[in-house]
Amino acid sequence: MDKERKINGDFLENRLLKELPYTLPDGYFSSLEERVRERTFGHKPDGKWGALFRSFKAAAALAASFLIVFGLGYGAIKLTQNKLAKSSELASISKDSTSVFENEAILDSLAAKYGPQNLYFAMTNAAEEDIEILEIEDDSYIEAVQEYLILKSDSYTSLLADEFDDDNK
Amino acid sequence: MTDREILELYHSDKGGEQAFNLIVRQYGKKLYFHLREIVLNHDDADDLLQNTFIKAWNGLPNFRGESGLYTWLYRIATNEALSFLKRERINNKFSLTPYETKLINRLEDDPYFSGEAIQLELQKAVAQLPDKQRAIFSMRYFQEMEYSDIAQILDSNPDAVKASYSVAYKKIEKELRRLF
Repeated sequence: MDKERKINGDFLENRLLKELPYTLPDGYFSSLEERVRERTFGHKPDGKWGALFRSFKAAAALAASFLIVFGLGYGAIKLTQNKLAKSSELASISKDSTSVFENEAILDSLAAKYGPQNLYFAMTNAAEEDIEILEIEDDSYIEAVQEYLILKSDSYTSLLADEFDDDNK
Repeated sequence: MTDREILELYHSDKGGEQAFNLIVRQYGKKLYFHLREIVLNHDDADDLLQNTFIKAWNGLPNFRGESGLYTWLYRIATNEALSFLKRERINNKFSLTPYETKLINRLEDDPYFSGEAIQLELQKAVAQLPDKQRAIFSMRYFQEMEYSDIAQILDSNPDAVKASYSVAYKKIEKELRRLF
């Protein structure tokens, strides 16, 4: 009887269907051990020390990554700090170098109030708050006024020269 | 020799290779047919079987015996087979022939297939199942494994495995009844 005709009832529960319909090359399983051994023992197992070494390798790689990241971060911070330091120095220098210009508006107002020719006088008699606003230390205001006048115009420069001459007469 | 005895031999001095040969002898046949049921082809099953044993050999130093040796080996083999099929499907993505059709063609041309026509039809129906479902169907139907063991191998739960098997079973039964 044809095997297929035996299949009835609970269709898939027939034993015929549960048989594996495969054949294999001759001697497949008898040579399997040999073939697997050839391929496998080319890859020696690591054993406990090998496993430890692999763990160490992984840990070392992780530590190296951290060091690289840390190094990059540290380098970036150092560079930024240097730049910040330099920029604060520059800020300080620029503040000093612009002191005349920062005081320019006040000197302008003093010159307008007392007249440019009376600026020295005005400075010495200026209200205390005006002197404070100028942020000029003690007697150095004379230098600040000179700078101011030189920068302002040639007429101020000549005025300054005239006054200098008058003083030395 | 029991799994426990094999593992004891493996951990003994110079017992490693001997224990491994025993594993190959004890599980080679079962794992081969398990793989062949999933990939449906002798050459692929042979490659995957050897890869499974290489992975097992490399993994043995870290095998703690939390699961049985049998479950562990089946898990390696199943993962190997499912990864292989996944790669094959990706490689076949731009082909005009669906991968399932290629599987069936290979099955029909396989010189190592010796079944009756109805067995061929059963294998064709199995070939059309999704890969994981095919693995589940194979383990339960042909190898008559417990749902709990299959779940352990697939890192799933027995209810999910049972549900998947039930769906696969109905699909195949319907297909075969249509043909015969």
